[in-house]
Amino acid sequence: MGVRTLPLPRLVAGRDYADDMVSTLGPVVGQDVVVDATKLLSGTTSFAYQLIERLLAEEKANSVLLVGAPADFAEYATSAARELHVTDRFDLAEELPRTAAAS
Amino acid sequence: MPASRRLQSLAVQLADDDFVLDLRGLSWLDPLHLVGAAAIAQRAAACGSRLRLSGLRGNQAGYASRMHLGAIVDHFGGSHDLPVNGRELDRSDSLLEVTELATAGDVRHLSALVHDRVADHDAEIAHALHTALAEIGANVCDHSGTVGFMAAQTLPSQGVLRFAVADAGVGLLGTLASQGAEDDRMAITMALSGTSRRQGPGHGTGLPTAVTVVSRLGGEVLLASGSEVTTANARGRRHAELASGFAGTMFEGWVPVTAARHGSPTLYDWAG
Repeated sequence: MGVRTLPLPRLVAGRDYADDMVSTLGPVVGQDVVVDATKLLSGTTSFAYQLIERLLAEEKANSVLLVGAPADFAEYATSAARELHVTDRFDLAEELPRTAAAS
Repeated sequence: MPASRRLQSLAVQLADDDFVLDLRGLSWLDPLHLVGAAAIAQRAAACGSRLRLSGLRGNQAGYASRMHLGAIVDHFGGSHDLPVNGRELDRSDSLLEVTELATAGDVRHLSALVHDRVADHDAEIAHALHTALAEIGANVCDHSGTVGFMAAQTLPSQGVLRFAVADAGVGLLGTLASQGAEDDRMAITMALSGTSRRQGPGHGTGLPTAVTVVSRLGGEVLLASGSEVTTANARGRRHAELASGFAGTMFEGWVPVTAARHGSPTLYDWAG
């Protein structure tokens, strides 16, 4: 079971953009995905919901760890996980795990 | 000034099959009026007609020209009496000239542009602007059935930053009738409460989020569609009827900006 890292840019918005970003990862079935939001300044609810829905509900990633996100975006993503009933596979962190930081 | 009075000036008359918009009674020209007039110009063209824009004089006419309203009216085949190339390069009083948005990429680009023009100056306001413009702009692309327009401006004399989005599309009632909206006021209320034409987690959250981030900064939003307008802030909502309805949807947000913040060169000196 591998770990994939998805770095987010400074600004993210829109469901289509979330789709585009997830597509860059290729298949993530059964994998742990680290979403690196340490550079993120602002992100919208629509992007957050689509990101979580695509990764956990549609692409069947094993888990998503959202790292370093601004408070609002972390809240949007957490709400998305709750409404999609995938909170057991979603978590937040302040810093990148060593494996993801090194990759 | 009450929201309904501010919007009275966007009443359109028909004359010889032309759409006529006379703005001479306007005491203060805001981004809201600019994007509203742009949307009317686009609607006129879509109806096989054209907009005749008149009534702005002096500083207001110069400002409207610098904010590209004349160019937008020209683009949609209309006519106007705004000065041409009047201090075109002086954009010191604008954050974003009236700009058409047609795609999700447009919305992303423009909301990022405004964010970056404010971010060095005030990260919290920049975040609120980015969130609100991106969410409302996305609604235009997803639901209006037409293009929209976006503009933003700082107003040192009022101590606020105003931004606005408008489209001459199907309106909120046209979008939410399938969800039970029976009139314009109900449609606005449902939209502000998170009802969307599309079902599923996260759909409909954009507008309430925009209200939240703007209200948190002590600002206010205005949402007008059809015959109704509603303003919303941290204290609640206020509804009013429009004397002349607006065919489409208009959104405006404003946030307070302190005098010290206005003094920052970064808020103005972006054009170079």
